[in-house]
Amino acid sequence: MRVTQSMISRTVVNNINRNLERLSRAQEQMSSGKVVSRPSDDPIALARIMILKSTLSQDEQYTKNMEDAIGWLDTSESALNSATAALQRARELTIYGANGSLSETDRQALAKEVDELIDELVAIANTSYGGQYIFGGQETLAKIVGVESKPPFERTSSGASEVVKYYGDNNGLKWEISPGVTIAPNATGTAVFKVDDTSKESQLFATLLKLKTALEDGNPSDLQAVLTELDAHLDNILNWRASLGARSNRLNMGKNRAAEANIKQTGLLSRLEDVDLAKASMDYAIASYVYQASLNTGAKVLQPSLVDYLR
Amino acid sequence: MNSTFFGINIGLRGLQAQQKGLEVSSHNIANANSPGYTRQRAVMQASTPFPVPALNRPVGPGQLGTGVEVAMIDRIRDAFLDGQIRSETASLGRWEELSKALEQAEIVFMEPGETGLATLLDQFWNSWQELSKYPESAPVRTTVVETANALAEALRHTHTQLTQIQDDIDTSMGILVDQVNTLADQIAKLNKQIVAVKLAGDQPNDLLDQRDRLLDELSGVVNIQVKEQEDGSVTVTLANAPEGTIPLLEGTQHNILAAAEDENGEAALVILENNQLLVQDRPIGEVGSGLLPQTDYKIAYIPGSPEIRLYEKGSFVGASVGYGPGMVPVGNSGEGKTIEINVASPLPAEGIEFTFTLLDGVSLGGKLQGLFLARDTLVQGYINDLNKLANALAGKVNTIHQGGEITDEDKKGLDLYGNQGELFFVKDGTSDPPTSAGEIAVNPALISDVNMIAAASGTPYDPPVPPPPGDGTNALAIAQLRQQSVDFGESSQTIDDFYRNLVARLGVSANEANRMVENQGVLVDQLTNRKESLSGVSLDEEMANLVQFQRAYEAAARVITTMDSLLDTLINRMAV
Repeated sequence: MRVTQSMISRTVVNNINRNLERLSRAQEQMSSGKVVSRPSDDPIALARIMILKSTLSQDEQYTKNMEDAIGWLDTSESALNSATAALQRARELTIYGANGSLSETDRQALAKEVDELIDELVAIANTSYGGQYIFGGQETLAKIVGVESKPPFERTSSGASEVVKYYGDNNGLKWEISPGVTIAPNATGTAVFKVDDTSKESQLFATLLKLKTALEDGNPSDLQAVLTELDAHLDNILNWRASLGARSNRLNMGKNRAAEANIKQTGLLSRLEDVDLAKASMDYAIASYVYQASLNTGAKVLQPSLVDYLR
Repeated sequence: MNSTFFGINIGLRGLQAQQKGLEVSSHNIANANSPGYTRQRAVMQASTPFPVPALNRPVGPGQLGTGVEVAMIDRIRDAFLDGQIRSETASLGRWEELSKALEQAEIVFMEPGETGLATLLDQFWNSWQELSKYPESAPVRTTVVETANALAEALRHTHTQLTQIQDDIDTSMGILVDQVNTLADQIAKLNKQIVAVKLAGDQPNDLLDQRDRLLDELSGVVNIQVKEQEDGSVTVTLANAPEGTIPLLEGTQHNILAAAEDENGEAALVILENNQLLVQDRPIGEVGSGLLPQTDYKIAYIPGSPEIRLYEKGSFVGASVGYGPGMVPVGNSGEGKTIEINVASPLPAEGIEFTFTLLDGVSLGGKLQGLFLARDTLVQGYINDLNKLANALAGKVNTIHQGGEITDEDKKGLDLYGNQGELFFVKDGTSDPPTSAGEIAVNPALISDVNMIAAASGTPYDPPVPPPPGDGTNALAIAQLRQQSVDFGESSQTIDDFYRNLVARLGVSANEANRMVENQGVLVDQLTNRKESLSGVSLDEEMANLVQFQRAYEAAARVITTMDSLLDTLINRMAV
């Protein structure tokens, strides 16, 4: 092939440019730390990176939902734990009160204690977590826009007798913990404190109020019925504690699973997206070496020609 | 019988021929670095021998050589290689323009990154998840509105930037169309000179080089077919133009290429028959009123500028007057359709009629084709997809926000006051649903009062009864849209997937364009090297030639000296 001077110099310039471009790409990868910094770098890896990133962000949200739900469940459980203790005490007082040898003063003292227990249980039933009432169903706030409403349970009088009214509802909350799977992080007041649907009065509190009245009035015969009812309520609450505990366990397992998945996915993402530094520095070194070699060649392009030898 | 001085004449011819050879070599050396220069060669041949066959031919052995003459000064060039280079350069130009436009589009989408639409979509869905848990919390409600706002803003911004790329392409197209017309004009002028030189029987090597260089340049812009005519002029046609299209340039006349935007908003390219009026330098100015039925028309054609404005006869077509350099509104154009070009005064009352041919920009080749593809196929495709995405998102979110859980017809989306939810996304500045990504916005009513987000679902009463504040079922329904397949016309997929596919397709196209630029670049380099190998000036070779011609010149001079001494003997020494 016939070779001319300008061919050589053009080839050299083209090659220097190409090598410099390669060097700059290697440098970009090194400095950004990312293999894929724009879609055209690797369209297939890009699609996977975007899916992984989106999944990670979604899973983070689900983990957050689970953590929040665990908080709710644990708070509910400890509230019900206190409720159990209070009911146990009420049961003891009932048995004690059934003892016919008690003096009037003693019975009044017992009635006083039951009265305190009722107040304590109302406070427990009104437990809030992060500003939300946990036993109110969807009625999680006492105050919403413009309307002042009440906490879920209120001890009030209805005619001559006392009642504990329920202002919440029987709706479980619905939180999503993985795609399509929802969980209720709460137990409603209706279910736990046996609220009557029509009168909106708590039967659990009704039993305690009955106990109080029986003690005040000295009707030991009523106490046997109270004892039976108390046992039923205790069983109910224990059932709910078991149910909440089971949910909490399930969420804890779910959370651990999510954490494991997160580690794996983050690892995969990093493999797809991040620069393998050892390889990148090798690439860079090679590119830089080749570039220098082409520069070196370029310096020798101005070779002597026949002109130098013709005198 | 030969003349006594015959030998001197042979020597003289030798001197002259070698001198010419030296001059051609000097010319080559001088132009060793001129772009587009083709090395030349003095073609030497023995001159007509003596005697010619005739009845009165002298007696004696014949024929006797009469020396040398330079028959022609030739250019060493391969027309086939030129054709190859031009078609590959056109392809390179196409991919270069595509690659440039797609690179811009990639910058617009900023994926994969922390600031792209994908991240904003993630945040949007997550904010609804949070709201489903804490529907009574004002800060959480504000977060929902703010992330939605950021998402809508990003959609609008992306839309604007993609449209901006199209505008940039319009500008480039105008410049390229202008370049084509300028080049065609220059080539036409060269045609004229070349024909004149050829008529005189000479070889216009340097003019041919110039013309070839211009043709090379033209071939990068649009794929051309060059046909050399017998008189030495070239006819240039657009390689993929429909049958019967007028050539871009023929002899000394060139026609006019004009870019336009048709009524669908797509770019269109027309070729106009050149008219006497157009080649004359018409003054630029406003069209005087009274001269035309349409009084507010401006100049239709400005010589030396790409601005040609076309009007359908009688009525103005397209709202985009002066749309961009080279972009002119064209009507429902078609082959042979008559349009009207209005030129400055004196204007005939009827206007001047032109025929024009609509070209298919997508098959033109060259940079123009790249621009067409990028503008109307690729970038427009991304804009369409972005609109689909925005409409699907807004449609689905709005339906649930207003209608509540779809499964229960009685239930509607309820805000904290107990009113049915309004539109969540609206068309910017109106209260209608959005129709494109360019105008999607969060309902301003929700921004000013976050309690109006319908997180709950239930039956709206009159007067409204507030739902339980902890009811986040509607918010959850919106959050769960993330996993739902949405009908996008040709396919059904989740909104996130649709967006990811859009970006992945952009990546594949850009990747292909970049690769093709590299490959075509190498190919064009190789072909150019082959051409250079044939036509380029090799200094070594020219130096060798110089020496060769110098020696031959010296020898020819020696011939004359010898003849001189012979004559000296004859004339001076033979005296009686």
